[in-house]
Amino acid sequence: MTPLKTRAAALRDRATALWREARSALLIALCLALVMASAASLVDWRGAIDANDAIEALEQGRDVGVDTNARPETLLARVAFLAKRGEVDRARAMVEALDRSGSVDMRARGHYLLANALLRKAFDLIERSEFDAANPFVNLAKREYRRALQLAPDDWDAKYNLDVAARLVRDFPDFERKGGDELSADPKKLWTDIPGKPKGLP
Amino acid sequence: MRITCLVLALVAALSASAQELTARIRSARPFGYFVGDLIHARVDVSGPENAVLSRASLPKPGPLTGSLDLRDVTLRETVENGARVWRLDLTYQNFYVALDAREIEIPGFELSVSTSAGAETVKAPAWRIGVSPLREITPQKREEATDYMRPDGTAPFVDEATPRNLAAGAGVAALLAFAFVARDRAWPPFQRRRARVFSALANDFSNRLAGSDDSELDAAIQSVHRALDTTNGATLLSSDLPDFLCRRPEYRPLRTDFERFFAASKRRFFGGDDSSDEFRGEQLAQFVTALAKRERSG
Repeated sequence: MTPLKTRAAALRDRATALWREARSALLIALCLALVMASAASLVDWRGAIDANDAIEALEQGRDVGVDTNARPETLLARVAFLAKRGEVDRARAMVEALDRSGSVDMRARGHYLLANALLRKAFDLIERSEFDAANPFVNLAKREYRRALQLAPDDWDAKYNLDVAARLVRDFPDFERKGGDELSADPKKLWTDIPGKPKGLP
Repeated sequence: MRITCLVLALVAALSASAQELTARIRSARPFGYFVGDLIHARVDVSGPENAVLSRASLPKPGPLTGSLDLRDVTLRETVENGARVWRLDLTYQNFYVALDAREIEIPGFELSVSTSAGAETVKAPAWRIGVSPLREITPQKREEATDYMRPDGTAPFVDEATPRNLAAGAGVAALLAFAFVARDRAWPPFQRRRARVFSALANDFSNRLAGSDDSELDAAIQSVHRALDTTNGATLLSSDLPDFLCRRPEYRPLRTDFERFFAASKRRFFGGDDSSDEFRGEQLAQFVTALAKRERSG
């Protein structure tokens, strides 16, 4: 037998001996680790069921309190609930919480829902002919749609509703501007107005 | 993405230098962008081989105009045919809401390049893309103003199946591992395994030997002898010990314990100096536990 083979055989014997020594302890450790893993999964499962119950209740219109540390799906359901009722300030707090914890798609959806709530408020004011009050709501909605599109450029609902909002209050960018990357979006170089707003005497 | 070679601009900036600094802009397509669409463009800047591009002069991601964002800038640097080429991949996002198909301008920018002739600037000029409306100018009349909007949609639910399957899988695996532990330690229902006679004996002793008197100790010593006989396959006497330890190397570390056990057993059953009877119940239980442990590692 070559020295290499002898060494390999010795190494194998040592490994076998080590395995025999450690087998009992390893089995116990494996068993404990698996018990802990299944306990953690059970806790996770229980949390998912609770979250889905809350989401279902919110969808059915029942007011369920949601902590800002809740799961992103629950936060999003809460945003949808508040947006449906036009409570934009409370919805905004939830969207900010979602921005800290949610995935990109969920954050985009949160901003979209908030923008829809703002736009509905603006429509409501326009129907009551309160154009001056509607203007900032439309602009806030446009900002939220833009945020949603920055997060999810392929969100067609957000594109469509941004189109709706932008036709209520047009931005007129200064096309003649020359310059490079140092130019930022300066609000003073835009002017906004609601078409059809009566001005002066007839 | 396939970049169609639409060369929009070519700028010659240097006349004094032997090799010109040039910038070419290629865009994926110059038309048909809706609001929110990403616009990809590639700017190739070439210059002398020893030129150095100032990273600080690269355009910075952020809003460029009221309706245009620069989202991403990546730079790759290569040397082609003795000229240094900087390949800038730019991603813009359009937020201009068009009422009709029209062109909007993407602003140009300047880059600073240090050459042997000194610091130079190369200008990537402004270029234009066509944007398109999403819907007609006067949509059909709706009853409610909010009917013009897209709806909120439904909320997504949390995934319940994954943690449930994980819990079930881990639970089954834990039960299996527990069965292996029970088998390894000869816990019921594995206590009758032939190969685990000492484990079974150790379990038995832990219940029985607590307050044992002499007759029980005799029975216990005899049961250890029977267990040793079973393991040996034949009656094991103290004279057979070297041969037994040779065949069952896992028990070799307990050689002195074996010798003490045989000596104590001999004294107890065949007479001798009773005062040195140190092998009482407790030591016997320890010996059996040690045997069980060696048996598991066998």
